Amino acid sequence: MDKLLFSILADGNSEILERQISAINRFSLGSLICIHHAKDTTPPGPDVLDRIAAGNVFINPNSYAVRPHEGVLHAHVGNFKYAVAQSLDFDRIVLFSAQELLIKSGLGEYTKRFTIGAQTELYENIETANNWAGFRPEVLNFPGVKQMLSLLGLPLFAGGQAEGQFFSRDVFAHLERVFIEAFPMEPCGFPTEQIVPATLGMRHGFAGTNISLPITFTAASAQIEISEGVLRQLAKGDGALHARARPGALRPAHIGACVLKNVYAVSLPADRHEIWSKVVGELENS
Amino acid sequence: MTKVLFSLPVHEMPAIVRDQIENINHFCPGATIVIHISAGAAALEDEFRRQCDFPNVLINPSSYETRWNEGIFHTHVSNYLYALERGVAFDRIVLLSSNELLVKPGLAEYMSKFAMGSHVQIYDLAADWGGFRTDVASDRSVRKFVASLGLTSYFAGQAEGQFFNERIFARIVRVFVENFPMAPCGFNSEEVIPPTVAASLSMAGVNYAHPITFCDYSTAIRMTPELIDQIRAGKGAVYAQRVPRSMRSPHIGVSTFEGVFSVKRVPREDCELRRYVRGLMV
Repeated sequence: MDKLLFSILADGNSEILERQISAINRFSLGSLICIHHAKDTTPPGPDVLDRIAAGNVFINPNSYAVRPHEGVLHAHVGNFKYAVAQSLDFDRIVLFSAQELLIKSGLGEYTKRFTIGAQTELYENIETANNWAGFRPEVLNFPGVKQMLSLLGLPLFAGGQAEGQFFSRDVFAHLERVFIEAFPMEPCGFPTEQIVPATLGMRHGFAGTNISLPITFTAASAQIEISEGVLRQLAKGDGALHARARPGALRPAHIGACVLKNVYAVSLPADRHEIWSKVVGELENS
Repeated sequence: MTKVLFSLPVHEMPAIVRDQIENINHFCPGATIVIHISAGAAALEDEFRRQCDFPNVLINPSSYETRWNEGIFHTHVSNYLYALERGVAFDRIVLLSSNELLVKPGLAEYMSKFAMGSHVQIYDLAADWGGFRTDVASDRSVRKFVASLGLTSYFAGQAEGQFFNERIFARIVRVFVENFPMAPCGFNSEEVIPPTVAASLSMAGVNYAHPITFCDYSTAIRMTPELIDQIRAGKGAVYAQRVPRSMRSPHIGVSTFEGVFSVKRVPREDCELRRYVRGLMV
């Protein structure tokens, strides 16, 4: 079984963070957790850490600026660097936002089969209502993106869902080198977390590596709501979910295909956490 | 061992169809092949019968009309019904086209793990695919078909390489016959009817795999010996930009090669690509 490092970008809400950590410790026992707190937000105090009471949780002392929609990959890179500097023992790093909750066990066994879990959609120059807003020439011509593509020997970048991407330690070390060389450790003006890992994943796919999908189901790209029924189906993992894409969004990674058994987490806003508690509780008691 | 039935509609080039039978017999030995000859190729029937004279090949005596882009699912339905009539026992039926070839062994074993293999895309006019048509969505027969499955819109996907277990295909045939004529329907019925049934089943928790055929017509990528080698190795992924108004390939940008056993397009002529595949049959 893989030893996992969850890189969490906390948003200052201690209650949600506690729930995330509790879910990780419930479904992926033995994992390590590294938390990045955005600059100018309050890190969890000793009372929170006491409540979490987890020796597997590490707070990254380096707080980088985070701005919505301008790229947060530098924060995950910062967490990775910190974990390596602390000599933490892990095989895979899993990228989590502040909204993700694990829903079932078995992740460490699943990730062992892949070195990369990422959605890798090639830059699409067909303009349609469904085409992702990130596929635009300004991004392609961004100096850092050009530098990244040059380092990877690719003509175009890829895009993919940020939540639940995972990488082997070696692959993420490669990503870290490319990122540091091409981008600053700050918001870059575009969603780096949706482009840089996906492009690196595509590079590995070209070279013959099997790429898995991210392990998190998100409703951000599809016209679907994560209801109790959806959550039950995700936890069970059978069949498929079908929904139209949201205009201007990335193609939904887990919609329209039987890939639900490989979904281990959901991205849920805090006001929907109640259904997570209900469904997870039900399934554990059934 | 899973018993496989290939349904193969043909309309030209009997010698090339023979080549395809030899290809199937090499990579999927023990399978039965049922061939539908298009009504427009009636003049070639004797030649087809001569070239396709193999013990595991059935020539469907019914020859229905086929028209390009107007639907050929009725030919697969007819092939299925004829196989039943002849008492052919099978566990999985595979829908093939006549310009594809198998490239590796292991298909029967692979399919035994899934009740079906289909490409299921929800009807979405924003998806820039010619397969999503308002006239089809509003067609009375289509609406009745969709409603009979408890759905509100149709689904569509790649036709080539879909596969189904006998029970599911019987259900697909039943809803087809109840709603459509044994004739071209005016839309690509083979891209609509099976995926829509697959969608309804998947909502109830039935798992499906991707179709077993990698097609090169919807993206900028072209079928080459190198690509065939990668498919045979079953590793990695390929990336290519989509042809405008084409469907989104189920096999582009994701690592699905483990489940790909057939490739399209292989020209219906003695060409380098066909010779390359023949060279793999040793």
